[in-house]
Amino acid sequence: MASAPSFALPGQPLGPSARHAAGPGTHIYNDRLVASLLGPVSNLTPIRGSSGNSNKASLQSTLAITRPSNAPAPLPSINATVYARVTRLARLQAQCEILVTDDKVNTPVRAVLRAQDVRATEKDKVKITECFRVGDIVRATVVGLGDNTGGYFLSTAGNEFGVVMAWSEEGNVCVPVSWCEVRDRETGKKEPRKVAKPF
Amino acid sequence: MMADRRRINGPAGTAPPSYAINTSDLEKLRPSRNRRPEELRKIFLKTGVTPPASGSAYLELQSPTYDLPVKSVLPPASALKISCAVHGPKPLPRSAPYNPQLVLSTHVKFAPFATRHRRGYIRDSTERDLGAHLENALRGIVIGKRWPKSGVDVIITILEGEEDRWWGDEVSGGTTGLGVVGGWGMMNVLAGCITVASAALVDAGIDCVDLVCGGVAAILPSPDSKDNQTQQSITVLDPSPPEHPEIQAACVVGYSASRDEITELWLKGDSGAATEQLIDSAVAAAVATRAVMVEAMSETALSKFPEADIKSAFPSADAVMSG
Repeated sequence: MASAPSFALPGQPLGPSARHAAGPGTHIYNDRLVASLLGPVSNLTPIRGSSGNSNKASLQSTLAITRPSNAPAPLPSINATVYARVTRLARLQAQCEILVTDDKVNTPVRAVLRAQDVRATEKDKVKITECFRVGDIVRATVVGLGDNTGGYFLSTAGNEFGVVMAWSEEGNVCVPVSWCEVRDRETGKKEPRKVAKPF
Repeated sequence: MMADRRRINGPAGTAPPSYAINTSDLEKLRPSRNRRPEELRKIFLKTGVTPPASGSAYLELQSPTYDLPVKSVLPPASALKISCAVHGPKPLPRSAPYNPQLVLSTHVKFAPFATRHRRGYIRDSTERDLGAHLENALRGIVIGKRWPKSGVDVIITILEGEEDRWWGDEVSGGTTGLGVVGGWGMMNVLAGCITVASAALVDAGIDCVDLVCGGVAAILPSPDSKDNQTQQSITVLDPSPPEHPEIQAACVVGYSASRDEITELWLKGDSGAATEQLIDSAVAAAVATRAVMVEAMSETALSKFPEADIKSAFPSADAVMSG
């Protein structure tokens, strides 16, 4: 079997699509896997979940094209972990802007954190103002690409998601004291937040 | 024409310098093609020339040297110089409607100094037309589904444009057989725009099914057909309009070689029965341009991935690195 090339430019065939699955930076055209980016070809093996799938058993590898390390941050994709800043609070949702995607800083992207996505349990008792404050930095996952009006839909359901940096009403830095409270380091006053579990 | 109120205008009543030209010598300054019919002008292409943009490229055609009997300070023909910057993918503005695909927008602008007649700062109809043609050419290769809800701007600045005809013909009041069909220079400009924009898209890391290259071909009346009144004509690749007093028809294609697809086709003039052959010639010009583009891509690859082994994509890379 002829092995896939180690470097490709857009339009270059990488091999038959019966042998290789399409990873990032590739596409399938006429039963052939073709590169769609300029970059080195990497082999992502083994394919996840291919063992139980009989019609994909003939696939030997997933080929992908690596982007350069200095490439701009990609746009948020579903299930990506992002860091966002809260820009506005409403009764049912918090407006945010996504600042960091895939550990890369990009241009701020609008996003919405709806009240039902704030936590996994007791969703109907969530009060947005008792979970966030404007200016907080939130770790969240992307659950939807959003609609016409708002932006990406974020979710903080899960222990490791929520506020990671908070400032109190006086503007001082806060430290987490429990999963639902932070304390002002200067005045010692406690404020409600949906706090992310520290690593 | 309305005065430009956003910029500082020059004093009113100025005129560009006019050169004293002996009209009897004028004809001696006319450039003529000294390349073979199937030979293109030399192309310079480089990516990554505009650091703040996510991708960029610069294209220049070498202006041929003419052996003219009379020397003049005016260059005999202009050479194409195009700079392209790609911004994005970035989120669409708040007012834009939802779009599950990448929204491609192209802007083509001549620099004010790009042509012998000074251009305005605001895009005119030919520039918007070029932008629409370019968008067509690029839409065929960009994989839009990879970038939902985002837009990419392709900004092209033409630093030196191709002329529509020789400057001497304009000075002497038009002795050419151009007739009503003009604007041949736009064809070469579009071909250059397609090539440079495709290189910039690759540099920006936007998913493309292939590289797309522009190519131009033209049908000229054969030099000897004037005498015997026959309808002989020749086809040339990469025609430079100042070199040809008469052009019957010209064609520009955006051609994606590895798919064998034409993404953009623009035909002008009366090609008659030779239309198909003219398109084939334009494709041949695009294929020749692709060789330059692949070479430029290998340089891009070396600068972006210094450690990578690029030989499998560029078999000629050995020669580049050792030579």
